[in-house]
Amino acid sequence: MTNKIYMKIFLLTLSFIIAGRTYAQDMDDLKMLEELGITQEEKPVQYRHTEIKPEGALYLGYRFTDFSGSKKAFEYEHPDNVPVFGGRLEAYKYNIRLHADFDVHSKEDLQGDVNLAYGELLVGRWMHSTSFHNLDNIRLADLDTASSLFSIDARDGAVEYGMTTRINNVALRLKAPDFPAHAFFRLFYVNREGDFQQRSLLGSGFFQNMKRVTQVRDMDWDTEKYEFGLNSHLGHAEAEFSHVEKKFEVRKGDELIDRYEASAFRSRRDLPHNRVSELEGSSNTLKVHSNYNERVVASATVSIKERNNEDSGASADILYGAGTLQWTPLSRLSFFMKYTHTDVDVDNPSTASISGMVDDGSGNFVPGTFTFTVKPSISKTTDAFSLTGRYSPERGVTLKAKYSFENIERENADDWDLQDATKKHAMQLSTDLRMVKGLNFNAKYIHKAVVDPSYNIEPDNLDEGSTSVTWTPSPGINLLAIYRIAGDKRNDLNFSETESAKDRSARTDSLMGSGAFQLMRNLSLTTSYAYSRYRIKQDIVYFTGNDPLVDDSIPYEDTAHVYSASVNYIPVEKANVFGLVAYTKSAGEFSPRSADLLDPVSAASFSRQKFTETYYQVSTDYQCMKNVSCDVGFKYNKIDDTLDNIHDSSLDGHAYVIIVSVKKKWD
Amino acid sequence: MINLRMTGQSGHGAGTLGIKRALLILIFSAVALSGCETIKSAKQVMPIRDYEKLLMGRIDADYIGNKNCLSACHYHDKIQRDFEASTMGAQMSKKSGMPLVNCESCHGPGSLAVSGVTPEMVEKDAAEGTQTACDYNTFIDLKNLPAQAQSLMCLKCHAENSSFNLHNWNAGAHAVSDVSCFNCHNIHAGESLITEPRDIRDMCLKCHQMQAAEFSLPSHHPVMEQKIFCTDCHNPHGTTNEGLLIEYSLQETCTRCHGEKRGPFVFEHADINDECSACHNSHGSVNNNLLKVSEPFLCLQCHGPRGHLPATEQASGAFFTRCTDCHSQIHGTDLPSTGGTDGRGKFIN
Repeated sequence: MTNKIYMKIFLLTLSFIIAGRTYAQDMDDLKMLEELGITQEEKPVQYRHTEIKPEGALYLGYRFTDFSGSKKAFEYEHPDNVPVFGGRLEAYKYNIRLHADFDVHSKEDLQGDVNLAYGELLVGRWMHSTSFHNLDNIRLADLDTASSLFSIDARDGAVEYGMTTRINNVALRLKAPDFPAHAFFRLFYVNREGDFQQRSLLGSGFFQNMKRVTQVRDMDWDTEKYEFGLNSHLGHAEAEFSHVEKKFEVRKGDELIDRYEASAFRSRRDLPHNRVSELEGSSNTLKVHSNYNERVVASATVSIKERNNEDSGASADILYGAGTLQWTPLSRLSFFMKYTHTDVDVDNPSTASISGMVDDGSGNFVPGTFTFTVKPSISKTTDAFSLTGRYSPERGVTLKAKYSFENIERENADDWDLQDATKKHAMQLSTDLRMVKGLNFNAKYIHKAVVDPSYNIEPDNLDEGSTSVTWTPSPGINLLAIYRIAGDKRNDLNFSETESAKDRSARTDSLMGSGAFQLMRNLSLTTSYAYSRYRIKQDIVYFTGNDPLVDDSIPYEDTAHVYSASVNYIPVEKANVFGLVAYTKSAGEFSPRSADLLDPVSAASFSRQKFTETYYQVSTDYQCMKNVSCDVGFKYNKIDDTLDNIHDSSLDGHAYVIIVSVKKKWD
Repeated sequence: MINLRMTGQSGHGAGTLGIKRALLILIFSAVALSGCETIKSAKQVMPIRDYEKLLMGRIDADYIGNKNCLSACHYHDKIQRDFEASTMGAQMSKKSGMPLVNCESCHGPGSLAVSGVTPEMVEKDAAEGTQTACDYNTFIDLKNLPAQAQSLMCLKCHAENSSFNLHNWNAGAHAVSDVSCFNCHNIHAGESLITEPRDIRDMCLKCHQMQAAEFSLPSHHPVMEQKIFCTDCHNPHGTTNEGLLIEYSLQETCTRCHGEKRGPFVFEHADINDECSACHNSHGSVNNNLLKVSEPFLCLQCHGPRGHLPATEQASGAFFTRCTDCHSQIHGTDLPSTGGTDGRGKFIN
């Protein structure tokens, strides 16, 4: 509550500063005009706009594909053999402007971008993207098909899953004639349709009868965000009010219903599971900021949001406020301050029910509802503040220092065995140096300290350093090297049932180098290599009966190497050739030591992975006639599950996609 | 050009009103006023005097207008044509009937540049296939200005921008890190001044090269494939969030597309649902589903499971593979788990 008051006082003060400056600045403007004697009206003249012919292009072609093995070889390509087409149109007739682009590579893979404007009074844009995602069909580990206690029911043996995502992004802005006031509308609409593998636990659900099931799950889900708003300029400040409506709607596939077998605690029953709930939300937001060109620039945002779950009645009210302040006492010296306040008040029902058909003991199924108490959700308040100073003692040298503080206060934290409050402090120092012309150096150091971290993955302390060098020894050569190292440590892990698990440390190493070379006037080469390694050592906890078993300092490690090289070649004036080769190698595993985790089958064996991916791409375009070009694009990818571990959800596969097209231009 | 507006009086009187009510009144007061210039009225860069000098141009030069600039050098005809076809070029002054923005708005007064250039010289050079040279050194040296001054060149008009996406520009990560408008926008690239989706990937990754490598890992969002774009999640013009997230929180950003995980739910994963990055690397990962570390170690970092030590091989397969095979509603659910007697959320149903 106190925080809310502080935040409101802060935002009101900020608004007064902005409004006050607005008034003062306008008075300055008027005075200046008088002093300059600028009082005469300019006479309107008839301005003649340039005549511009429409320009456009259209292409038509065919797309060939071939997939073998896992479709993850091209995770985001639809395996269609279909005609492709696309084009571009730019038309201008004062004062209407139209700019359109579209590419249709299948009904599951298309993109469009249309801009339509009338003078400055109306500006509209519609961007559309449809893409396809090949999804996993994971085979569950079935190590003993005769087991009656732990069984597997794979109902989707040969099903190939995939999901089409359609994203529509619409913006429409109307401006008042000869005055800077606007009304706007924005829409962000995502439809996801297709099917995916639903994995769930059936059987009785108890350890005497666990039936793990994989089955087809249809989906047709919409995520919608509509925003309406007004903004205007108030002298040297600008204000905007907007209202947002959000919805998540389930057209198909809201839940599955399956039979749960009888156990010592209950009878057989048919119950819903894996329900996808319909959600909605709204927000009202007010923003105001001052003129950007002044020594002091301020902005403030206040937003009141609400979220509702249409199925269960769970709800959340959110108050979000943010303020920024920039002070530039000298052109070489600037200070930036940010403050955000987020208050999330979650209100979920005290009970929840599940309804279905229940065996009444005689084999007949009758309606039944089971109600359970619900642990209260966590409401929390987060205040975050940061102050950054930037100093440039001379051209090409920039020094920055940043301090940030975050305070999280939780309600109902005890019910979840979490900390009531967590405080995070961070200090960041960085420098950008232009050492000589063409040679730039950047270095950054961050130290972070967390007081009362709630989750085990949060460290007590974190240190991170990074450096990068870019060097352009000659106009045709550009080199880059980046190295980043981060290490964090936690001394008192928080497992509910034991205090014996203590330590966790993590370290990240990232390295990257790249070079771009203009080898000849018509030939350029770009190469890059990236390496990353993530290592954790942590005490983990298992239970033997009611006794916690702590396995100390269990190592986890994953690594990745990414190599790539590309060539751009213009053999003749009318032709362009692009080639790319990329190779990715990754591996990961964790290694428990306790015999209980190694026997009868090692826990590590299920997640140990080694994986390679090899990618080739060649594309050419050749101007075969005036304003006509013939284009060919080829890409091939091969993935190799080197360990052939059937449990790590990686499989072998390869695929190619070829697109042949002819493009005609008009200008 | 100085804006003559009286709206400051409204702003001055806002102190006794609630912030929301007062600012709404300010908006509508402003709309009610007439005779104001359009949004292109430039603002002086008064307080930052070093920059003001840099952005002013030669004080001994005069403004000569587009026609004189272009007749001296037809090399820029396409630029002028593209500019007129843009939203910036479409704006006309009500008073003068002339475009509000022209070449000299950014490049500074041009009289010295074309001094000594005559139509006869231009025609003669054109006949010989050469371009008549202007004295470009008399223009504002835009390319070599400090980043802040480059941005101020744009912001002197866009401080009053019709698209409000610059609301947090000044304290945003790009502005603080000496990234200027020029790093991403080339207003002479064509008639559409809006960045095309297909250009966004390369535009961002030319600086953020480490992210390019992350998008090449086995599990990744399809940014390299250009199926989604950096701007679907980030607002490069500045936000109050770390990482320039487009929404006020990470969860709100992710659920723009993954709406089914937005909640609220009756059974939630404590408050860690707000931090998708606790379990996922949003750009790319070695592990499936963008997981930071693979299952079951992912879950074992925080949870010590009871009754999950296997006695048989089959039980090992059940308990040691992926926790989410059974706890498949890990992002939240409204159905109580039927496996136990307390019904508490085990994320199974």
